[in-house]
Amino acid sequence: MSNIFPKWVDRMREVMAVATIGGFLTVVFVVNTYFSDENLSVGYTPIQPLPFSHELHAGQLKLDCVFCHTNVERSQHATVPAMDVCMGCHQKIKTDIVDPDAKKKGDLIVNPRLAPLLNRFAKEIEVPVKINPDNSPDKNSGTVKIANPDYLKPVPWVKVHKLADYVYFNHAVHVKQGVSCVECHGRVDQMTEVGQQKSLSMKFCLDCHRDSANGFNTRPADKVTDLGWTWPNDAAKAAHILEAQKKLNPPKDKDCSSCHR
Amino acid sequence: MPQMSHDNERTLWRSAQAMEAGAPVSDASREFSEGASESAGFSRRGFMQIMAASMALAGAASCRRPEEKILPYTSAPEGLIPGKANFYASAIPRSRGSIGVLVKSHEGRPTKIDGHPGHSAAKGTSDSFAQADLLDLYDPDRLQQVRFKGVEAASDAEGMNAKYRAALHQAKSKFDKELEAFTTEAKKTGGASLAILSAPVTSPTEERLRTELLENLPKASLAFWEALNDDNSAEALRLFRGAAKPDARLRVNLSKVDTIVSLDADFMSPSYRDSLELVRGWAARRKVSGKKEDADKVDLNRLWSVEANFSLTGSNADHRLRVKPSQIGDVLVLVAQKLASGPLKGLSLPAFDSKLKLDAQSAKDVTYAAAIDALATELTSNAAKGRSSVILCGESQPVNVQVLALLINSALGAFANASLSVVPAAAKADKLLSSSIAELAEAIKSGRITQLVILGGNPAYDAPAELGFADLVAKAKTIHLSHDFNETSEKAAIAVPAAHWLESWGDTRASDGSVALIQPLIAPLFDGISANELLARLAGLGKVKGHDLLKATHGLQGRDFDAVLEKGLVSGPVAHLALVPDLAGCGQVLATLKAGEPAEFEVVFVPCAKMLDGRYANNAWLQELPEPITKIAWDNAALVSMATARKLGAAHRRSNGTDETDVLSIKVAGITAELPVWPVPGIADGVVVLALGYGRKVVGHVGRGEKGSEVANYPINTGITADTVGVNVYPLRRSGSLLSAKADSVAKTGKVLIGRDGPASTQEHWAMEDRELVKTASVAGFKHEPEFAREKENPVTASLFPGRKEWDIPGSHQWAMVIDLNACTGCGTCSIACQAENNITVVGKAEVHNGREMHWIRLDRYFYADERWLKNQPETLNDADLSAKYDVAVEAYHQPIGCQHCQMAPCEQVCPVEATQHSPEGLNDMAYNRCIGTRYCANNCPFKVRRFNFFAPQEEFKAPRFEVKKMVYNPNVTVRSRGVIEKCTYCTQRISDAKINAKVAGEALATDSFTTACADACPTQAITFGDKNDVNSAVAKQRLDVRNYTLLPGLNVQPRTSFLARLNNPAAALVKEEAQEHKGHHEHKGHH
Repeated sequence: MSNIFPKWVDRMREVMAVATIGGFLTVVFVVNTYFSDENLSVGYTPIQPLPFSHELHAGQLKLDCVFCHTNVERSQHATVPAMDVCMGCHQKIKTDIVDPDAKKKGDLIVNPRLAPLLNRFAKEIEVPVKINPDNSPDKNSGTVKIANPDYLKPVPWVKVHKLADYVYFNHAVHVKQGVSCVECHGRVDQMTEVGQQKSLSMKFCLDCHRDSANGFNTRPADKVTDLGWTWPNDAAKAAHILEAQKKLNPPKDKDCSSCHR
Repeated sequence: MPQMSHDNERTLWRSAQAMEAGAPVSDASREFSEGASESAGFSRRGFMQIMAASMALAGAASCRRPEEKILPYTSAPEGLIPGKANFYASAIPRSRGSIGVLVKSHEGRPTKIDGHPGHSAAKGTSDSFAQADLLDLYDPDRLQQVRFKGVEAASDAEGMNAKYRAALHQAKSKFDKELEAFTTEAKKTGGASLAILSAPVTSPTEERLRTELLENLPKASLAFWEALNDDNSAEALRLFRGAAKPDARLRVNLSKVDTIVSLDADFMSPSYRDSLELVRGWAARRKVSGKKEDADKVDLNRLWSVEANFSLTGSNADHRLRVKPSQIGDVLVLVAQKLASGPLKGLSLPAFDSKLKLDAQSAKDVTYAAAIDALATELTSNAAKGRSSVILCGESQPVNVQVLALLINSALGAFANASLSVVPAAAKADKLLSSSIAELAEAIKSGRITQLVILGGNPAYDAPAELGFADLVAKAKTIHLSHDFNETSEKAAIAVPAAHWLESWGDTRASDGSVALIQPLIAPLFDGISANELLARLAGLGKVKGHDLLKATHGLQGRDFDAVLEKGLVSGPVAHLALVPDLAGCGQVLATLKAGEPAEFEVVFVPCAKMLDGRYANNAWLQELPEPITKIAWDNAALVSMATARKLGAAHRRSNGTDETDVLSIKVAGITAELPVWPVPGIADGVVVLALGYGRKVVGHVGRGEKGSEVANYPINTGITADTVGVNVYPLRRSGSLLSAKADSVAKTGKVLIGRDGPASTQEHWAMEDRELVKTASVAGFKHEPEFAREKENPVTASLFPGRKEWDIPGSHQWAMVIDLNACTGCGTCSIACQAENNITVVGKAEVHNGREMHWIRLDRYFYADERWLKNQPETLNDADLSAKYDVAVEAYHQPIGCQHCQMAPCEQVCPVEATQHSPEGLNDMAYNRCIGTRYCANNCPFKVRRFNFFAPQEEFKAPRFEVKKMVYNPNVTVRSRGVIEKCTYCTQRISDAKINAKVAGEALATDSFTTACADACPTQAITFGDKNDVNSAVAKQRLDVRNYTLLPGLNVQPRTSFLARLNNPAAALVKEEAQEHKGHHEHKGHH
């Protein structure tokens, strides 16, 4: 009886063993590296419906974070400000800019960067309309006022920093204990478009919660929203850490229900 | 416990079947019912195949992060912080006792209802109806649009889109025109053709509007009806006072009463008038000082219950006399005769020859004669010693018996010591409801009244059967203002959606006369209007908003109104009416007392503790709550005693692993109803107990037994009437016999309901291994040995699990719960409160049959009968067979069981993925996102409190018309999906919330400043939760109580939940000498 399998098949056992182990390790490596929050979430910078710049407001104009995110010290949500907070200033400020093309005529037009906001407060909007059925180009320039479909509708911001639905994170308690915005959100005051800088994974949370050597990365209460702030000297930092270690008792490992309910 | 061979220990049964079979609770084969662990209709192999496919697809689908939007407010509402709940004071209008509530609101959406601490009726507690009202608000089956008879309603299949909204708007405009025509028509006759039918009025604003309506239409008639009414007691009080109108009510304060006699007055059921106040008063006199040295001073009240049904009150009574309904009055007369030489001197009772068999045993070793004797002696001695006694007469009792009870109460000093008082009725109706609706029916039949406005209710379903009210609703031109489209709306010319009390402005009087405001927490979801607004339009005031109507009534404006709103109360209690009994009148009434003529079979109609009169039929939380005694969820059944069941040859049995239930036919006044039989030990022999409120036909999908959109239209067939839950027994009710009747015949039909067609009862689900779970003693036994609940044997200290040093850190919070079995009535309010707080899924009748109910806190009900006594009884006892002995000897105990939060939790050790962990504060945590559903933990839990979730509630909301159901959920608790284990968390969201609030405020946590949902709701405050490390906390003090014990101490799992043993208070005269000698290990009978 002749051999059904050629001789080299005998080596398949070793080859398959190596391939299986190698394949398994590759899968582990790929999943571990590329499916992590660090890899999937960090850098997520969606395009927002309104080109709001934190760099301008918080950076250059030095508006305090709490000026707009009013509930961050009281509620679990920092809350995106209601639109009338924007309008508090922008009813008057920067509503119009001089249109460079229309400059000769001296016309003012609505600031296009603010238009998505301001348009939501107009009851009626003007839309171009064809007034002649013949479609003759010279008569095609009329406009008509119609009810604004977006009137008083909220701006649909795209969520950037997203925790899983089963995580119950509370802003107020962190901010009040001296955890700065910058710890999780990065230097928002330098971002024209907000993007995610930290992984916000469970490991990220726990790293801070376990870090008693650094006073759980807290700082003096009045510096929480000062994103660029650093310790003036090592002695002040050491004193604060000592105090924080005594005072703070954040949930640590095995305290599942603090975040998962 | 037979296995443990201590002859002085006790056997507890979970069901009547088990009792008869002699199988105690130890039947470990029923630890999980067949469906509770295995997925039916789905093999493991098939499951793996589908999972593999979905994993592959999930991998492909999850590459891109879904974009999520944040929509801020355009203009931020004042006082609303997203993420923080607000609380608003409001009130639930009820004609049998309104209660004040605090409603929790998340971002403008009411999510939880609890009692108002400042309201006299609620005092911070609530009942299951109050808890479940929330679900009714978000019921997608509510009447959403004005419906006209013969006109097809617009379809809501696509949810609240523009098209549907336009259709709703159109219907409403049409209604506006129709109403104008209706009013013009009524005006032609000056209102003579118009009648307004409603429940008795508790709202001062509504009263004012009715006055204005009568100015506009002076000849209009006002009629009243409510199926569960106070006719008999109101009429008796009228006769007693010699008053012209039945417009006063009895107020009862049990908090200082030593002896309570309940004549078929099931005041512990939430369906009873003023049940919250009564039960609170009863429990106040069941509290025991926990100190060993105070044991001698223990002075509990004694509750005697004379009843035909085995009611919740009966199960908590110290002495229970089971008597046919026709003879309940006899017992009172026999007692009165014995009092004639004492407190009742001078009262002439008619000659009376009761047919009650006085020498038969009413309870273990107690004959009727002895019980009546002992009761009379106790009442006499109470009167002599200045102790207080009250006789509570249930509505089922005829007027003359009620008058006699009032006379005895008066003679015993109950009015003098303010245990009883008379107040103007809070719910006003100028005549008795049964005569009112009968007059109305007559007027419609004769054609005098052609226009009918019905405010709420469902008279076509629940009016006395002989009136044929459904046809009358159709005969007149009827406008029905209703929460849901029901049997009455179907017959009415126009059905108008009513605003829920959470959606409308109003006011309501509580039983003590205090007036509370009702404020809306949400704009009407389906554009409903309130009764006040409709009345204002009929009164010719035009479209006035409820808010303005309310302000006008109370003369409140601006800040004054806001201040009242904040408190919720407009005015305090009214003064009691002076009481001068009309003795001459009473004498005439007493002359009509006759000995009861018992029939072979009598029927008792009980108001259901879940459906009330049927109005909660579409409320899934209440439908699924197991009935306190039978533990039947989703159905009603014909309850009979075990002896009667045997006599009828009918049974609920288990053969070859299948439940079989015989069907009885019950004929009353020529009408027959067929219901499955359900033997309950302890019901009076020859009595069939039928719960009202079932078998609704025109009702939403829950009431028809269909389970949402997940399974399209599967009717749960009881085998008797398709498309209903339970059987409607209202057709058997006639005027004059609304709560009990003599049956023409009761017989077994030969039909048998097999398996899932029969009633679904949870009584044998989640059986714990046979241990002593409920510890009880008599007061005398407790005085003899206060530490009876403590473990006698050396405690087991060995454990496989390591100790936890974080528990010893001073100042660390260590959560614990104590449940006082002496105060727990078994009503089930905690189950519903937990369901509302923790987003617990409803599973439906078929799944209850599978043993998949999800309640995190369940109420175990155990039947107990003294086994030695049973053995020693001659076979000639009563009806000469064994089952009769159980009926005589039975007692029942209730025990709420949620996760015990064991310090050495067995569940934690077996989880392969560490999804369940012990927190440093002693909580047995459950991380759903980690759970992979192996169910090892549920297997290893000795208390059977872990529930595997087979359901995906999210699936339901995919149907647009069910989207509204989402709004009921508590945003601070995960809505669990299919495939995870869940269980009681000690309301960890509330703990976190309190801790965070304290940290944010920079204060130390006041550990008694918050509590769990069950403890919050409990009508008797039987549940205490707190930090056991805080020596000043209530829970730490209760843990030091001598009656404190934990379950299954032999396992050394060290539960954080402990129980305070129950004390019974039997009359010394009725405790048999022989029993006193047995100073049992756990049970002590009347030692002196």
